[in-house]
Amino acid sequence: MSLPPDTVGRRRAEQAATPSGAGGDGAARGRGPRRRRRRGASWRQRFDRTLLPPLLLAPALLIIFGLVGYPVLRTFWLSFHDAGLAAMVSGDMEFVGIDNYVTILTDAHYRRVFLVTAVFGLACVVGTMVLGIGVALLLNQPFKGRFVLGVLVLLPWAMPRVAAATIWRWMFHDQYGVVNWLFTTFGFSNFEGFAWFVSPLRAFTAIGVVVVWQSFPFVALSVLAALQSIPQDVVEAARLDGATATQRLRHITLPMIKPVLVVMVIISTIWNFKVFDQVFVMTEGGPARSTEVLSIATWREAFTRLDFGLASALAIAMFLILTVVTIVYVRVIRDDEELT
Amino acid sequence: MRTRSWLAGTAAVALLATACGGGGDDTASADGGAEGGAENASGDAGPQTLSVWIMEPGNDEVERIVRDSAEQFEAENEGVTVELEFVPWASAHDQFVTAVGGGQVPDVAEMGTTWTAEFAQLGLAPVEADADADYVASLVEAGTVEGTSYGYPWYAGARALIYRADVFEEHGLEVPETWDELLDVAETIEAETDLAPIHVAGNYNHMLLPMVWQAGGEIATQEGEAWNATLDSQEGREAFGFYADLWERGWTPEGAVSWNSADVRTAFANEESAMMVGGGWDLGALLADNPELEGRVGTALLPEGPGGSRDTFAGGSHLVVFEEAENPDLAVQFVEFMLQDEQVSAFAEAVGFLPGTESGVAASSAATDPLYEPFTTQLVEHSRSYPASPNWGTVEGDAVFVNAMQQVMTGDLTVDEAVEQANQQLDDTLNR
Repeated sequence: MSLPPDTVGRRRAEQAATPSGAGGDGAARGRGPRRRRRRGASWRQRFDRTLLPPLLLAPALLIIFGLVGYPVLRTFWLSFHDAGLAAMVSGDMEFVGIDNYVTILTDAHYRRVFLVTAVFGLACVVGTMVLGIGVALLLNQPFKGRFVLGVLVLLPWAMPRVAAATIWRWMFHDQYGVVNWLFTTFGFSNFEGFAWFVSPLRAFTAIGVVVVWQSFPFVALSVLAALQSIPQDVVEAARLDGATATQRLRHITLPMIKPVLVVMVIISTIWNFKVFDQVFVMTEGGPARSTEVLSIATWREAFTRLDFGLASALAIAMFLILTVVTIVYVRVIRDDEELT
Repeated sequence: MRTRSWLAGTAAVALLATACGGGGDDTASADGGAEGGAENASGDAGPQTLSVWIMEPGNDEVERIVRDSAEQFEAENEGVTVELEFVPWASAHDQFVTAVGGGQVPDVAEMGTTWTAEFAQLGLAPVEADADADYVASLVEAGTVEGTSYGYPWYAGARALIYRADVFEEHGLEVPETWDELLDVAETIEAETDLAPIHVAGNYNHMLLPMVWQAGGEIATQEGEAWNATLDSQEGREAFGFYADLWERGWTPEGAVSWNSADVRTAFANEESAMMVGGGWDLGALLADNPELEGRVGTALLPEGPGGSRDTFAGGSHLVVFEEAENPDLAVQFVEFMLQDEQVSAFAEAVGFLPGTESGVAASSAATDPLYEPFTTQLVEHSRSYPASPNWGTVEGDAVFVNAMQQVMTGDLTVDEAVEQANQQLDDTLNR
């Protein structure tokens, strides 16, 4: 489920980390005019220029459409139908218009689901970014044991999410968990038998810790890569001009790594809004459905209630929300670019 | 400009990936793993393949027994290949849904008894009547929809009372026979030991729901096609009230709102409570992990509720044959092979359950072991199954009862409110 965004993220991070290398279209633009100098191009050249690229791209586009486009369109189509499992099998689905969307917008439970997802997702994004940037700035300093720390930071990310969540669930166990033990050892005696999963606030705190713990390493490493690509002469020059550390951070470091930061915010927004494994393993949406985030609700509709129509509507809702959020982010960075 | 365009592009791709991660799953991963018989299924000639899904027992020994059985079946039927696939319980329901949705079902599968009715309407073959079969009644009931049964009972377990024999002896206590006696005994334990008398958990349907039967009530009754949820009967309220009362006495830690049966067992194993409701597999596991409890644990039938019943839930598995099986005859043959006394008892014993046939139960070692005997009696004489409605899977998935009880435990609802809420949801879901 998460693989595509992961690879996408890595690719983007790599691109962002090499600001000196001109991107593909920049290089092409440079070479273009030179080619065009020879007037009256032959048939072969015209073929190369106009028909060959789409032909070469076609197989990839077809595969992408099959893997990505078809499911999305099918989900969209399903969301307008009363699609129970039996109906799906027989292919005999009733068109219900926007009924499913009306349900998810008017039902009190789903309104709550959207609200919790937004608040929880946002909190996780903030947590991930703050911790990620903090650790990246730390790792960017030369100090002993930096390599070891870097490896340690990577570990949570390398761990399968379900395994991590299972372990953390035990660590948060009210009676035998190491978390309560640690707190009580350090003198917080009201954590004796503290029940982490009895209220939504407490449960979300526990889940949020796990989510952030597992998603900050990626941010930290990407930001670190960006930090290390900042040309040292610029920093040196600023230092010579008397810029303080804070000023250098504000006026040089942050602007230069901003593209990476924005990508990280987008990626962690997408991850944290559709977080599933950790919630599923730790609370399965409980107690009393209070930690049911959008992805869990979608799963519940599809796989236990077997209402694929409603589940599809929820999935499309998530898709739309994330699209809007991403567009807003992209606009923010574009407007900023025009200013600077 | 360059930044912006690749940024927008990659963001779009990431988003699309998001969408298929959500609702697209049903189509994207429809291949579920079932390969189906590749060979021509007609007649006995030539090699034949049988795809079989078995729940992953999380135990090498059990897996080995299943593999041995399959190999033996292959040896006895020349040219037959059994393709075994072990499916983890946690994702099994999803996998069945996906398999059915994608038309890629196995030939034979193990299925939790409470799912059989749900999948029956989606393409299970009816059980072929076998005059000799002496299946455990509650297991047959669990797989029967409108008079036709769809699941071959494979193995089952029933919960009974597990208690600390040493504590009971030391304080001259009798094993409780009724709910009232349970409370009396509990008060003595509370007063004289530092153990909690009994723990209740928020996420433990199989302790809570049977209390409705014990109180003399029903969870839901069927009238023709329609179901009538009856949790809000006097008996249903009494059962929920009793469970809530055990909680409100404060014997169980606050965190137990989210506990399940495994947590209850852990607490008992750690010598924190004197009684628990659990199955033979619980007892086996806790003795294996805590040898110091050996000889200090006793078992008994569950105490009778005011309805004069000790009924508990018979949980277990059916073997089912899918209608779309490549070779239905072979599939049924395989099921019958697996249900022979020697196969079924070896397997059931290894998982800590009991065979789904009465002759198998009688042949099992549990029937003669005094420590395990109550589980046998409980299963054969005092067990029932939940309403065999195709919608029961949804009821379980919605955690209707768990939610109601958790809200009582956290003080959000009174028992009456919780019972009414659960009853309404149950009624809606069963009749949808």
